[in-house]
Amino acid sequence: MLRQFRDPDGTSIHFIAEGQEANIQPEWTEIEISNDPPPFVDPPYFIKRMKEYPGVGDQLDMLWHMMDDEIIPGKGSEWYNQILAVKNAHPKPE
Amino acid sequence: MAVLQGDSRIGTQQKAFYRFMTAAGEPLYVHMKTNIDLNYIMFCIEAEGYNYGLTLPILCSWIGYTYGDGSLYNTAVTNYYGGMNAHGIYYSSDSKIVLRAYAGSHYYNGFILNSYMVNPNGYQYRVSITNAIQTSNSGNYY
Repeated sequence: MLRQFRDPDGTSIHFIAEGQEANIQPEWTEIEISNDPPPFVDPPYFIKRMKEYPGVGDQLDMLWHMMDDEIIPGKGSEWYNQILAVKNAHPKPE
Repeated sequence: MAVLQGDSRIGTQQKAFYRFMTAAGEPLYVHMKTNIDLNYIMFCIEAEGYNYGLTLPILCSWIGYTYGDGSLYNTAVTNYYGGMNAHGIYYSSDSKIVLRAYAGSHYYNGFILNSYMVNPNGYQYRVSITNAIQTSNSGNYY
């Protein structure tokens, strides 16, 4: 079990493993670690977004189709043509 | 700690040689000072665990090669699962390797460290963590 100590300014937490007690500084304050089960926590928004975004490949395919439909510029570019060549080599079954 | 001794071809793996856990979501950086010194050691250290606050598993790694003149060669950090990122590697002021990790929250973050000392230089080196801190410092702490 790691013991945890706060710096005097309260900003940093030091971790002391068994056998490392000599590292403990007198100005540190030990943090009491509760044995109670931690409460439910809602994941932060960026994690929720990350889990729900389409895969990067699907997002790029959306952009390719927007180029193909000329919603955004890029049709005929090197990147567009390389993707087009792969699509033409493996046509989507009807 | 389990120490798995390999034969002369596959080297040594230390599984769970260090266990980290915290209840505080912040600060966001963790610095772990190792006993790896300048004695020409090739190291591969991996973190595995569960970041409850982020609701993501952890799998990330730090690799590098320490050199007697104080250089640090062929380093890389690799991040797989997103629960915590291997953020950097640096020398402490007394020339020991320090691993820096970052997570968007450390709220009930738990992980273990494994070492894979399989290269000719540093083969079977017994890695340990001598100091660890959770801090807002994204550069060098030790």
